[in-house]
Amino acid sequence: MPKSCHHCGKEIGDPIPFKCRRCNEIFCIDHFLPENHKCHDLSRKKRVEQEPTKILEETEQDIDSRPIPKTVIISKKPKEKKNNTIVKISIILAIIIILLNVISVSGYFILDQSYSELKEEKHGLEDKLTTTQNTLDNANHTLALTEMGLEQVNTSLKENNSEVQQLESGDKYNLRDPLYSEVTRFIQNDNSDNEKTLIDNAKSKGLRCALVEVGIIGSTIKILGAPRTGESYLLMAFNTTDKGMVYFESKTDYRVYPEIGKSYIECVEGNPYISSLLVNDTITKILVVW
Amino acid sequence: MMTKSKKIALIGIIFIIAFSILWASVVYNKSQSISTVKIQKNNLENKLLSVDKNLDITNDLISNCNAKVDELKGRLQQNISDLNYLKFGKRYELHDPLAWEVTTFMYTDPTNRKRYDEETFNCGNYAAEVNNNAEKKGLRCAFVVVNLTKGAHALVAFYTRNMGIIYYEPQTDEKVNLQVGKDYWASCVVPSGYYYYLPDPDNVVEDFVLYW
Repeated sequence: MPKSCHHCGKEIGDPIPFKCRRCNEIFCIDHFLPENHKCHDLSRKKRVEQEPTKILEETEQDIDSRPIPKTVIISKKPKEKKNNTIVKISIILAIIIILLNVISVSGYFILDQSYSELKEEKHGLEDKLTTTQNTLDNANHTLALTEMGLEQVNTSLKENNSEVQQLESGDKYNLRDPLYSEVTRFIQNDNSDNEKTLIDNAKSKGLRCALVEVGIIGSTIKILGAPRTGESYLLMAFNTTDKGMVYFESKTDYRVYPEIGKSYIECVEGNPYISSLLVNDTITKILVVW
Repeated sequence: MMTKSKKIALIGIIFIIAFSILWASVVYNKSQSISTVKIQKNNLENKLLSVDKNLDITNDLISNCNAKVDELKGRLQQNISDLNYLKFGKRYELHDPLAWEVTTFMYTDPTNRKRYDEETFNCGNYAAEVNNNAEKKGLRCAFVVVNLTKGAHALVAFYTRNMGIIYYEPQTDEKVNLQVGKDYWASCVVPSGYYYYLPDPDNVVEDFVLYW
């Protein structure tokens, strides 16, 4: 049913009728403001506010002739604009916020990815650290074992050394056949160059030592530097426990490998002597005196 | 009066803001976690570096230790072998005898019964054999080389505990009163029977050396 304006009676064609909040009546677009339809509620309020004389003076005509809805329209437009601006700002803000959110979401995913990568790296490092730590522990264990082994070997060596020293000790009355290493050590350290002193020194250290007379066919010419006495060479010898008999010249410390039927100078290690046709130094006998 | 669309928009904005705040807090938390993980990662890296360094040091120590062990093992091996040689090697206990021990030894020693041969078994061989036989029996004996006016001679000597040094001629087992400047055979050797040696100017003792 079509509604009509409560003030002018005009039928209201608008789909949404205007309703006054004060008097709750329905009005057309021209009279929906309280001032336009002389809302009794408003007039009552005005009456209280204005001087009673002025209220009385005001006729209905005056009210009709008042030039106004303009003021209403003027006052209505900024409000709508304001509302529109707010809406626009809100929309812009919303868009900005949404954009920011989108950015932050994408940022979040990037962060999340890097977080995952970091976590993976961390796990990798943790694993590596665990492995390395285990390796270190094993290495420490090995080190401890090695050190223990070292100590054991050292202890054994010390015990052995003392036993060796005990066994090595001796004097001219307690002789033993020495090791080859002992002989070389003795010869290197002993500075005497005659057989008697050398043999005495060796025996005083408990090393059994022999005087060796190497007989040769003979010649009137002596080989320079060789320990020749008459028609024989005097050497010293040891019956080593590890390398058997070893012979040395006392003056030169050369090792000699005497063999009957061979030239003496050829038997000297390193061939330090120059042979001469005038010298027949073929070995005829080897006499060992302990 | 607020319209429905405005209300929806307002609610939407509030929701978006709330969501944004919530999201910001989530992002903040995430970045905090990242920072924490980064710190943890750095710590782990530092720890790993330190552990790696320790491992290197320990490995070096092990290498050094092993080298030392090997060296010591080598020495020990050598020592053990030396020890075995020393343990099982022959030992000779000698003593300075009493005069009667020497007499008994010389009497029982068969060397003097051997035939003399200038080339193959001369005085040197006699003296050497007696000397070696005496030492086999534990008697400390000296090989004596005597330089004569012409040539040389060899005999043996013992340092007896009761009669001092005594010399023996190994070819005849006779005692020798060895003196420089005297004829060796005619004056020094004490004949053990009713006989004597003829003097010879070539046999005068010029000097002598004892090889103990």
